[in-house]
Amino acid sequence: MSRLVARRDPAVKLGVALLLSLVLVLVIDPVTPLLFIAAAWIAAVALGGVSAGAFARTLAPLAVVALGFVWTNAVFAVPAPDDTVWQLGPFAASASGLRFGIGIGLRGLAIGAISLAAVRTSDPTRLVVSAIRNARLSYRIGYAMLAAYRFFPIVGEEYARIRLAQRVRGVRPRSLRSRASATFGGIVPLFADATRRATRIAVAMDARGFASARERTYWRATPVTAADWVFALSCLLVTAAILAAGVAGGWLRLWNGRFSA
Amino acid sequence: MTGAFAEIAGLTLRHVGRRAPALRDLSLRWERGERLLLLGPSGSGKSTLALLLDGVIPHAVEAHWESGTVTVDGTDTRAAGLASLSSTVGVVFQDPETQLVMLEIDDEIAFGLENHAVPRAAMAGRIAAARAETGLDGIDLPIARLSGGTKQRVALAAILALGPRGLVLDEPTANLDPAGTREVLAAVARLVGDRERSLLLIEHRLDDVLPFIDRVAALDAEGRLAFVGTPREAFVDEMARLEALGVWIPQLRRLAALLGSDALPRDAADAAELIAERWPAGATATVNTRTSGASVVRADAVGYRYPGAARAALDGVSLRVDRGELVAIVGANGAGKSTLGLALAGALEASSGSVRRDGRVAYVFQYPEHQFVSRTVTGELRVTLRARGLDADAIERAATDLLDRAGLRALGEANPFTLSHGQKRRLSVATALAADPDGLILDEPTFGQDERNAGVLLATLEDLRADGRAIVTITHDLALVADHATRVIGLDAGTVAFDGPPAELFANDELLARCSLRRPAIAEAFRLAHARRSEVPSLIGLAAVRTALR
Repeated sequence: MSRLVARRDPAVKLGVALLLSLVLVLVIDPVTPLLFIAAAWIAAVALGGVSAGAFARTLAPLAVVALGFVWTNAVFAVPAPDDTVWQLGPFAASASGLRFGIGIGLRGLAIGAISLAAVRTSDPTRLVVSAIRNARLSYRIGYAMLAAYRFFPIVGEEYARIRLAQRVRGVRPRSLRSRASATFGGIVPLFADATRRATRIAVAMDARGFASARERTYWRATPVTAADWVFALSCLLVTAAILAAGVAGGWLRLWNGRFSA
Repeated sequence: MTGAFAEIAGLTLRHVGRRAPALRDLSLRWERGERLLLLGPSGSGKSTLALLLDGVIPHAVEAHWESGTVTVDGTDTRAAGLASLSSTVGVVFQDPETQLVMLEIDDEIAFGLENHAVPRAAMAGRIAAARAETGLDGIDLPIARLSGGTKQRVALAAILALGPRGLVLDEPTANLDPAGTREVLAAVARLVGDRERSLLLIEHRLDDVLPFIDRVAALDAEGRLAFVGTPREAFVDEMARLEALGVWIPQLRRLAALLGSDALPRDAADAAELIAERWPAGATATVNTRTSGASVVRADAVGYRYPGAARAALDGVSLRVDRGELVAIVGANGAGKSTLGLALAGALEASSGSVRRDGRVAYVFQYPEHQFVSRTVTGELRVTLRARGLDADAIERAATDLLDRAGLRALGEANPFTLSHGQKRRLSVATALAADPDGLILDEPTFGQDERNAGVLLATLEDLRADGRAIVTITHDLALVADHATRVIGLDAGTVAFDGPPAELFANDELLARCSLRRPAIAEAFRLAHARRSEVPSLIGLAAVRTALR
């Protein structure tokens, strides 16, 4: 039960996520995105085998961005007269701006949650191979993505190591300016390092015929099965149910082309 | 063994953006089924040769092909396609992290098959065969969780699946701990035992490979062929010539030479026979383990956990390092050696316990580039000298002196990133010495160095130690431990498994296994010889042999 979503074809999941994102772009009320976030949570955590903590952690940075949306819209939206909710120094938040901000902030978070549910419930190799074979992703880009996936943690460790090395040398930034130059100073060796690593891995791939491949075969079988179509259909049914509930409950609001609500 | 598997004729090749050719007028035959060892000082073009043989140069990496030809399996590599070349010759490179592409073992082995459009139905059999040949049966962890030695065997399996007739291994053990090195070289020895495949091996740890090598070729620093011949010709008849090139010489051969023999022992058992025969009665070396008793660094129950890590990198480590000591820290990759070094230097704040330093402690990182903060070589030294609070005149005087001692005088205005391996290492040590430290901690100081550069560095460390400073070196090089360390600390999963004289560690099989170590060839030979003739002392390294025979 808990691996139900994880077993589905990753390309199908990504396709569904893309479709739902397009639907969500039109939604500006706060309740509908909340329901989508709940659905994504259930799909990833209850049906996808992703741990709740891990899912929350990957969602956290998006939540910060969403709060930014709320703030900008509340404060910088064109204010209607007598619409001020609160005042903080030079900043005045308007009620309509705040509502709009919360709506699109949650919308962004919902799109993020759905995409993350699709990615986090998928084995990375299967995700890339399925995207290559079922969604016409170029294999050059696909394998570059896999290499990057292996690479990022290494680059992070490498940067920490370089900063440590430079601190040991007595580069201890005090002022903001020297801190900026120290950060930059760490980037030069990091770039030298990353370039060297990337070159080496490219050479190693070519040495195994990657550059010369005219047509490739694949070891991983990635068939899209009836179960995958049933899954896609279920997602659409859930979407329809959420939208219908919004209409019945009267909270669903779609974007009308203006930047306030 | 009839006919050449590969033939290089009159080749001169220059890398893009370089003025000097990487290889000059090189002619070399690699016979069918032959196991050829390629030696050369760092920067002599060994890796370039590896890339030429499987067609990566010129098909995927461009270079100025100034003259000559490379023929592999009867075809000119410039005329053949990369697809056929890359299945004829397979290459395993130095660093497992930059040659494995996929996340799982089977995907990794399949990667080359996929590129060569092998039908899916044929893959399972070839993957299983490649796994069996490299001893990977039944291992199903993600690649990220494998040890370095196992990762290199995956790299080996991945090229074997393509059915190559030639294997080129470019320092496949350089990044591995002693146990991983043995694991990989044993797998290689099995693969080429029947001479069905030709092998070209670039390797520093010669004692492990000598038993399965047919011929030796050596390049000089300018990329010319300096020597080609049998191992016997290389290491016995022409040993002085190879030494002059700065390449590594097998330790067991050096031992035989010290015993006045012109034999080339194939392994420790061979050498043991020689020792038992020739060891002069009464010759022995007493090890001086007396220290000054004044500590420079003292760790008390130090623990350290990296943020987000599941287990502690260090757990209750207590030790002290005194003036006049050269302490080696050894253990498996990931046992916490570097973390301990950083904690001792004060670069990492211990999560628990305490570190006390009496005096200045400088740290030299494994990759010198990481420590460079300046645009010029002299600038690197000035940064440290200025931090010591010297005035301008004193800084310039000290910088000039340090450059002289590091042999970098002519390169004072050069960019540190453009230096050679050996020069970078000397500069990073010089910058540490610029701090006039009481203690010096070095992470893998001989990594990637040829024998000459390593020798110069070790002599410097010995001088500093004799001068009353404390030296700590983190290393996988157990010959270095045997010859230079006054004490060795063995780490196992973040705890101190051993702290004592190297001879005691090398006598203990259980401890060696626990710390992913293995007895160095010289120590093994003396152990076997001692068993045969009890008056032979159990020496562990060439330095002790020299002392005993003096």
